[in-house]
Amino acid sequence: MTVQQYNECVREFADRLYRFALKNVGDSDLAQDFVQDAFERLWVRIDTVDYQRVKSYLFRTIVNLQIDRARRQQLQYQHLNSLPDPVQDSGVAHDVQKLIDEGVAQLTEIQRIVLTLRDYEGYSYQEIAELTNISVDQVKVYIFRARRFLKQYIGKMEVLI
Amino acid sequence: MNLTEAQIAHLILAYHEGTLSIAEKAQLNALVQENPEFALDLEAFPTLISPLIQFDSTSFSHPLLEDLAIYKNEDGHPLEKLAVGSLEGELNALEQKVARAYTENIHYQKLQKQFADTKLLPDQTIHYPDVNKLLKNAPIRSLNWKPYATIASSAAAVLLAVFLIGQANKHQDPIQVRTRQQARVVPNKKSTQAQSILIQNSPVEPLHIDQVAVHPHVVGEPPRDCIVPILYPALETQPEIQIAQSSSSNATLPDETTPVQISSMNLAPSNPSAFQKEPITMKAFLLQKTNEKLFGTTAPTTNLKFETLARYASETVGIPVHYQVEEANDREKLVFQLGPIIIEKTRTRK
Repeated sequence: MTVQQYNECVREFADRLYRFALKNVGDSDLAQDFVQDAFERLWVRIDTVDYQRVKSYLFRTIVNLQIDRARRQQLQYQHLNSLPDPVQDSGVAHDVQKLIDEGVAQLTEIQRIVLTLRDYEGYSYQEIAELTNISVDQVKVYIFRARRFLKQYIGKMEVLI
Repeated sequence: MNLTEAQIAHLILAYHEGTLSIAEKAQLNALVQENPEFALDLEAFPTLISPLIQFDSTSFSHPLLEDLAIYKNEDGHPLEKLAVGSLEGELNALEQKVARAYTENIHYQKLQKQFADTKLLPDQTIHYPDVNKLLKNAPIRSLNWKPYATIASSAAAVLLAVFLIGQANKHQDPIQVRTRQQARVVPNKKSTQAQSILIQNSPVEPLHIDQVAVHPHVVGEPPRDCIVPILYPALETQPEIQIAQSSSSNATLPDETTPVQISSMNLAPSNPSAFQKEPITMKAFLLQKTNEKLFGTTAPTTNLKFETLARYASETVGIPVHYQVEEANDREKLVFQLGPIIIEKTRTRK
């Protein structure tokens, strides 16, 4: 891959990667770090990464970073013996989009990643399975559970409102 | 089955709350089988269904829904699975047929809308703060140098050896040849009386004592980088020939010189120790110092040079280096083998 192709990748995927990471981690600084890290890794391996598969490479890098972060967080939570409950702290939601955001935050890390890959980037189940290194059936299960949870979460909140 | 309206309401509420007993579940199954419209009532309050509620998804199904394969092993009502599968575009032909059958159903439509709300839409107004920081302008310079490192270092060692040896030969020869063939003995403190007589009678005037002190023994063209200025370029003569002529004919000897005196003359051109004290050029000085550092002596022999360099190259490069001298009658052949590289040099023996 040439420098020109690399820069094209930056222009094409930086925003999409940032939105994807932001949706999953909910922290703009952390999302920026993830995107920057992904492109730095791409730059280091610019001679070996195929230009046709660079999108997958970038998203896989972000996914791995998120999973690593989730594992670290899980260890921290286990240490503190308490799990956050953003729903209770978030107050009254004002619209469906905000409800969805809150609901997405309630999903497990892998469900959130799978769902955002599916909805944000339109990846097929097969592609998501390759990116996240899980089976296609497991991807289907995660997506179904995530949507069911979101539907129920939105319904609950609407009833409460 | 005859159930009152209150009993039916109780069953439905108990179903949603997940508190159905086995008997109540059997009653509800029978009720739904007799009145399929109640199956939709069970989905009338989907928002109240706890995600933790476990129920047999086929118990309350319409016969068409029982054959659904999508998300088969997952909890959830078949209509939910149908709605999600439809949203995801993952329905097979049979499932699509079932979905079309429920298209007009108001509860299915509601389910579909609820699941459609779960579709995440990226916010296109969000952009990465500073894309320019991610851009790269520097050209990529990636050289896979490892395979060439050994060969390159070997070649460098050999070239260095050849260069140093060449420099040594190039510098030593002119001085030695010149001093042996063109040296002119001039008086100094160590000159014998006969030498002084010979020099005084030569057609070339002897050097002044001060000039001799500067350039005591060697007269002629100084080395190119000689640090001593050229004082007497006119002394470009053939002193040895003159000395030989003088010693053979006695023509230029003074009358008072006897043959005995002449025979006793020490006509050696110079004392070796005195020769070593001659002014040294910067180049020769540096060469001597280099030789001293490299070979442990200021005047290493060629064999010593090659052996030392071979050993040095072998230790630094880490590959076997061989040096060999094959001697013939009047020629000798130097063979330098450094891994796959072989350098041969043939020269005439002096």
